[in-house]
Amino acid sequence: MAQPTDTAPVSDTAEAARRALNAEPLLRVENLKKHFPLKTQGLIRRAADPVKAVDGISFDLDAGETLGLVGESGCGKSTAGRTVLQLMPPTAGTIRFDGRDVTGATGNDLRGLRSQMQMVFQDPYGSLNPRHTIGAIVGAPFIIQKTKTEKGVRTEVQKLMERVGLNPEHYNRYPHEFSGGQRQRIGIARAIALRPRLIVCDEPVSALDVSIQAQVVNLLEDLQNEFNLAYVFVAHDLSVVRHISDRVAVMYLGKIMEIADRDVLYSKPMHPYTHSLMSAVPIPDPRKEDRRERILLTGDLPSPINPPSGCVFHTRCPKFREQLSDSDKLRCTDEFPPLELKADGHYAACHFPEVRADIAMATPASADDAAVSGSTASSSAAGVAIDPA
Amino acid sequence: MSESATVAEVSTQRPHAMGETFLQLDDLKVHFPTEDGLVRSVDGLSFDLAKGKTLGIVGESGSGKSVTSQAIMGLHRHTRAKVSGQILLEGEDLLQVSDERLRKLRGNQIAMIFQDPLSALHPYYTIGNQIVEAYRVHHDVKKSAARTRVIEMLDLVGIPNPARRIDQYPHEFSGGMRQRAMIAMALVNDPKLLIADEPTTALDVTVQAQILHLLKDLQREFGSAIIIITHDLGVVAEVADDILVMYAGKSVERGPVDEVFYQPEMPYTWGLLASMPRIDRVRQERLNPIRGNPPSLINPPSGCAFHPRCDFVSKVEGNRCVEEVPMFDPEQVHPVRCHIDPELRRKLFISDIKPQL
Repeated sequence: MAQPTDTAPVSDTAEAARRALNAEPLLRVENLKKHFPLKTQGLIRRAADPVKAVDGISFDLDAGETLGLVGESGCGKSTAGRTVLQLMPPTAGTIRFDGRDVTGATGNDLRGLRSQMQMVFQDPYGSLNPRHTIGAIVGAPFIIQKTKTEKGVRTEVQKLMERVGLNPEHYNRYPHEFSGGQRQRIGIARAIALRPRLIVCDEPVSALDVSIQAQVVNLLEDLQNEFNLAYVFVAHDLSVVRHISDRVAVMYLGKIMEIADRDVLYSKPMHPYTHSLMSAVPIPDPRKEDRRERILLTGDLPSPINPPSGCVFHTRCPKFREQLSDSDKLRCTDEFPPLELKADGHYAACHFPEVRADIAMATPASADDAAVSGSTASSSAAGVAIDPA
Repeated sequence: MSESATVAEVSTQRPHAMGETFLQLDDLKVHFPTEDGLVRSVDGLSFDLAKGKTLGIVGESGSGKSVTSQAIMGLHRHTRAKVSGQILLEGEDLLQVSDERLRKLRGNQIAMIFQDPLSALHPYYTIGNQIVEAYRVHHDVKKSAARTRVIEMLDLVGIPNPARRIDQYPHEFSGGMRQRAMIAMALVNDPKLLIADEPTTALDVTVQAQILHLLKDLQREFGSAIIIITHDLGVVAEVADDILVMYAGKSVERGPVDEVFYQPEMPYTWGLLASMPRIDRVRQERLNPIRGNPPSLINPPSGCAFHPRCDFVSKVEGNRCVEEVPMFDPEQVHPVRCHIDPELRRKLFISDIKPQL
């Protein structure tokens, strides 16, 4: 399934500019698949059907841009991020970075790539070696890559520590002496040490307290502006993803269900799965919470070993269950809906997409709220208007 | 302490305690002696809860919210923890009752839902065995009768095909199903008080919505009192009647859910509300974090524990924020632990904070 972007006008201005120059994006992922092989139980262990963790996803990412990957646990979003970084070899598909095919890079090639693309992990406790000092952890990339530094590794590391908001005097401390938020800063300092161009952030703030979460999100945004970093931001928290992303892809059972610019996706979600995800996000506003419509999904995520036929979401789709005629249902159960351009810069994999503007922005609570949501509508309209020019 | 003095006078009526008071905490302290010094996890906490009501306890990690719930369940008995104060359940002090009496109450009158169902359920026993045991400890019935009851409960919490699922092991359940099974176990004896410690934190939003919906339904049916502990303000907005905000082992603000959300008065609550990104509002260019880090519980800051992170210290005359612990009067409808003049607090909220939310 080729990414339909090739022919379509896109509303994102950075992407439009790039298209005008006919340049390739920083990262282009095409039809990426990652299947984990399984063996049958018993004496003779034959190969069984694999777990299709990522099953044919395509996306582009420009320098300085953030793509959010959201979905329930088990949808393949983390696997997608790791496969892009070549932490696991993909089963199929290509990954092009900076204009060249890097799929399946090994040895020196891969090492060279590592200084260009880095990762920030979810667990700030598990991703730092407890026996190494912060200096050793943040300095390791320089040693491994044999990168020359002007005034020695130590000065460079202390500069990095200061940049991410750590006290450079703590150079010789160990990870256990830091709080969760500070450890995440250490992980970020390590990731930006060699000035990479792409960072995959795998749930970087979900283990942190709300007040600390905001500090780390702000830091990530500052670093992005300063070093023109591209982020693939994997998270399950739709509010954080909306805040940090330029574009957002919603994944379900290894496939992208919907991908669009952040404002478009959150103001006019099209896919029934996106609708239910957004309606489930708890809103810290008791009155809105009372009035809003909840689309409750029934049942659990189907097994990625035997995904449902046709549209993988049809087994839990509220629209399929309640609104479709029998002949329409047949289409959902038999025919796989490709990820298609449904509106300006807005792709969805659904036979019967429907724009629901009421989902995320619950009905305005008061007059000043109404004014506020009115202004969003006009600003997003302005975004669309600029686009053809 | 001034708090215990005021609490002593209260007992008869608090304006916001609708219905009869079912659970009452008076000046609860839980301290852990460690090599580094005394950790004051809970330091003088008082609140009350009526039947059929839900109290949401909100705070960051280390604020003492989980330790409070463990103390109510009596999980600090025979450990090194130093527990003082009173926990009155229908007038009976849970800190004073015998172990045997507590065993009768625990699981029967008060039950708990833990955050991580995989470590709270035993991997070697089937789901059915574990819930049947929980039921038979408190009810003198045959195994078959208990089994029927458990199938009923599993059905009630929305586990499909309960007659078959009852014989499966925890690892055969998905995360959401395990959480449901644990809720079924907690509810099997119709407890009057249910404590849910981060019941949905490990779950996806879609499953979280299902579980919260379920808790509300069950409360309507059984009329239990619920304490829900969480760091997610969205969750408490959805289920709680009253909210208690904790910081450094102390309550800093308490009130009916609407008041805490629409007229919060404590700068820490402001910080919590302002720092979270929200999908129901216009996207902000930058988030407004609370600066600094959560406080040490061994050497908590002097005076108001929040003062090193507070932007409004200059609004209080003299050096009171640093020198004097602010009072917290549980008798009020909406008590706040803050030195700023109440009039000024309300003005500050409207002028400085509300526009950011």
